[in-house]
Amino acid sequence: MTVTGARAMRDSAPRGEGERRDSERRRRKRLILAVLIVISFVPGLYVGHQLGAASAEGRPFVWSPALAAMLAGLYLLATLGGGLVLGGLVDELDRQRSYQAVSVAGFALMTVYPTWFFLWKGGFVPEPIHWVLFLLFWLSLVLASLWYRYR
Amino acid sequence: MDVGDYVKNRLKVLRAERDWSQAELGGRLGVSRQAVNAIETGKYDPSLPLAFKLSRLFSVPIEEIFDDRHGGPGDAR
Repeated sequence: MTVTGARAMRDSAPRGEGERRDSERRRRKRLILAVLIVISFVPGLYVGHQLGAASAEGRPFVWSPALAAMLAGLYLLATLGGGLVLGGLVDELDRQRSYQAVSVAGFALMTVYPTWFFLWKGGFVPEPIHWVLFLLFWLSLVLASLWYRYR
Repeated sequence: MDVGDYVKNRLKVLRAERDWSQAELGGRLGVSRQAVNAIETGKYDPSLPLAFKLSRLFSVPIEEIFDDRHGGPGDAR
């Protein structure tokens, strides 16, 4: 190991009890996030693959009840379980930023959906699409989270 | 809220006196390094429980850490 490498390791190593606790907290947070990403990514990859195969064969992709139930279970596990576990690791600043981001996303949803609904009823636009609204909520949440974190 | 609306604090000075990093202080308080940084730079005001924790940790009254009298409305200073 080079002298520079050794110095970098020494400098990045926790120095006191507080740094050790901070390091452990960050490590646990990263681990939970990694598990949540895997839980989300693997089923998404499977569904995408099935969708692509069905599309290539020119047939509609039909969700089996087992697949739907499994995905619902995984989603509940990730959101409720992940939320509970992460809730014990976040601090008051994280929590405040989360509240702010959820408020922004909720406001976006409450603004867009009724407007879209009224315009649809008037024949101006197509019927509201549920997954677009869901995506809108999540995109707003991510953008607002980034804004409050890096502003 | 503007950054100027937040209370000022001596956290950075108190931390430097003990030669603690932001991560060290955060670990001792049970908050992240980012939270300590946000408090020090005036981007975030800590909750009352966290302010009391800081007070106990540094063994100084809260008023010696935080100061909200820095040019606010009606302030003669």
